Amino acid sequence: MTLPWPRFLLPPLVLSLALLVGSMYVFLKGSFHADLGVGRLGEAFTLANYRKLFADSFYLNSLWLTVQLSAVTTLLTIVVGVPVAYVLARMRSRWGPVLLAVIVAASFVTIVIKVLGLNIIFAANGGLNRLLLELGMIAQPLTIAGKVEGVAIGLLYFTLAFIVILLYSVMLTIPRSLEEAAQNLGASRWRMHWRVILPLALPGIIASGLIGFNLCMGAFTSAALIGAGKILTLPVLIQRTVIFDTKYGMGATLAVVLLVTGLAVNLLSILLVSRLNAARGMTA
Amino acid sequence: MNVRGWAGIVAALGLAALAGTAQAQEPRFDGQTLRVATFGGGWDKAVQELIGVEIEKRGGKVVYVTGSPRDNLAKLIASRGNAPFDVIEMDDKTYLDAMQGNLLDKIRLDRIPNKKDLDAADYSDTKVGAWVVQEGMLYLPEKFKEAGIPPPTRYSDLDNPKLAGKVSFADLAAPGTIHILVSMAVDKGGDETKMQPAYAEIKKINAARYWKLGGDAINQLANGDVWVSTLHQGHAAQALDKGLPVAFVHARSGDKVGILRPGWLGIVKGTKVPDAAEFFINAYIEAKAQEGLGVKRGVVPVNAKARDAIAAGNARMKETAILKADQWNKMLRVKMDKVDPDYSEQVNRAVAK
Repeated sequence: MTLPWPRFLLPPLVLSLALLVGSMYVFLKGSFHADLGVGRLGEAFTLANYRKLFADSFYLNSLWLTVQLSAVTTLLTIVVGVPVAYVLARMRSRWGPVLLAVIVAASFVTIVIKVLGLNIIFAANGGLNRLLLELGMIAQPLTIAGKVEGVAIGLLYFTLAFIVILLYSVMLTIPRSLEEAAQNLGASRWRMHWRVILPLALPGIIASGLIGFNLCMGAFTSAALIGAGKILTLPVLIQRTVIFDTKYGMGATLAVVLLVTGLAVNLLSILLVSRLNAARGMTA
Repeated sequence: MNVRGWAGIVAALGLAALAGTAQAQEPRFDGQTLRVATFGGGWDKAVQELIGVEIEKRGGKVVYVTGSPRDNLAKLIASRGNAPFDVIEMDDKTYLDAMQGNLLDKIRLDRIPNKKDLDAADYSDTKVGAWVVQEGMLYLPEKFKEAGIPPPTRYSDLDNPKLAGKVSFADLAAPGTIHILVSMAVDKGGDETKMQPAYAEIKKINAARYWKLGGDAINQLANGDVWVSTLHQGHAAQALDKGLPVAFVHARSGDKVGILRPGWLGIVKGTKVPDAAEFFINAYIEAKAQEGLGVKRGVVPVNAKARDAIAAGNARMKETAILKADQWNKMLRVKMDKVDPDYSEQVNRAVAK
């Protein structure tokens, strides 16, 4: 007897959709009403919030900054994470599971603590800056606060452990025998990675990358704490608009635009991968 | 029994009766829980030790909802009539918004007898003054001296190339930012309605960081990350108590010296424990409690007796705060209802990278 596997997908699908649609409905509805102050919304349906957002370079720059930061951080995370995951997956030593456990534990540490650690490391009077200054490697203390690069480091720190864990499971699915076969056929280590490991891992890398990108797009803490009020990504702007200005309509509009942008990037990526796979299938 | 003996019995009975009456009039809050929205970071503990304990002595319980006034206002709005607290401690911008949102209840001022020690401007039937802080700048004198920079006197002094990357400024989320902006505007010929000079100035200063919590700015000074920060004298007192090598200066705005920023207490609409809320507010402005908050946390009491006591006996407060009433007339007071309504958007644009 064959089990009706697709039906098992139904409950999580329904639950996920209900949660997404339920929460987004509130935002979506709010985004079509004008702010009357102190959290109150006008009765009439209006596109004024969207018109303001798309006509104002300040909001568009914030959106662009958020996408750029998320994309660059995702790329960095993949570049750092793929080799780490590969080495962990191929490690025969008993240290492999220990190192993996350390990475899993790191993913449990709240981002607030991680950011605090970064701030201590990069404090002007901190050990790192004192050492670099004494060695004459820098003339001024290095700082990450209020800098885009600093926020990128914070986001990298936030996502890296998750992505390594995901990529580790991807690497485990690639049979070791394929590597041995490639090397027996004369492929160099570099060529074996480029022509065997990478193509097989690519769907997993893209899926992990998309998860990392989505985490970065919605990340508030790193941008707020390291950005020090100067790096106004869209999540930071949403918090300011809702909490400080109590403009729930505009806050909802920003949230909808953030979600739609994230969804569009995800859909485009999936479409691109599907086309790539189809093209590769045709070539083969 | 002789006459003196009878007289003694009568007097004792009279005293007992008086004590009984007093006890009967003493309010009790058995089984009641008062929820107070206030600041975190140890402020809530000080409030409990000095004020909340008075409710607990009378059978009630006080729980604290901590957060910035803006955070607490957001909680109040989101609660949609089911208020998550009964009393709220606010800055004057939050008070204005809470009034516009019809979120505050009337306070029965006859239940606030301690208002007799407050200036008439410090209370109304929707708010009672809690404390005052005085905005200025906290800086590292040694660093300024080494760099050949004169001590700052006004916020525009922070626009100095030698201070590039060394200035920390209050974030929009910090309650005093509006007052600082108005000071900057006034200093350049503007006012609450004409804030453009302040937006231009904040852009020119290009602070390295914008702080949300005063403690963060103090840490930045302690770590040497910055050399100067906009802070109030209460923060200055805390930093000096920690032994940091800092100095505080009251900011000038035109011919004004120093900036007065009041804090307010209000009762949230729909509270189920109005008596406890009013008792709490009255206990908050009592002279001893006010003096205690001043000594523990560095805020300036609104209670005149407490202010006098601090001026007479607390060297740290005398060093950092302007305590004489005649000098308060020369300080800047912000007319919050006149402030440019677009100021937060303007500041976001000025500070964003």
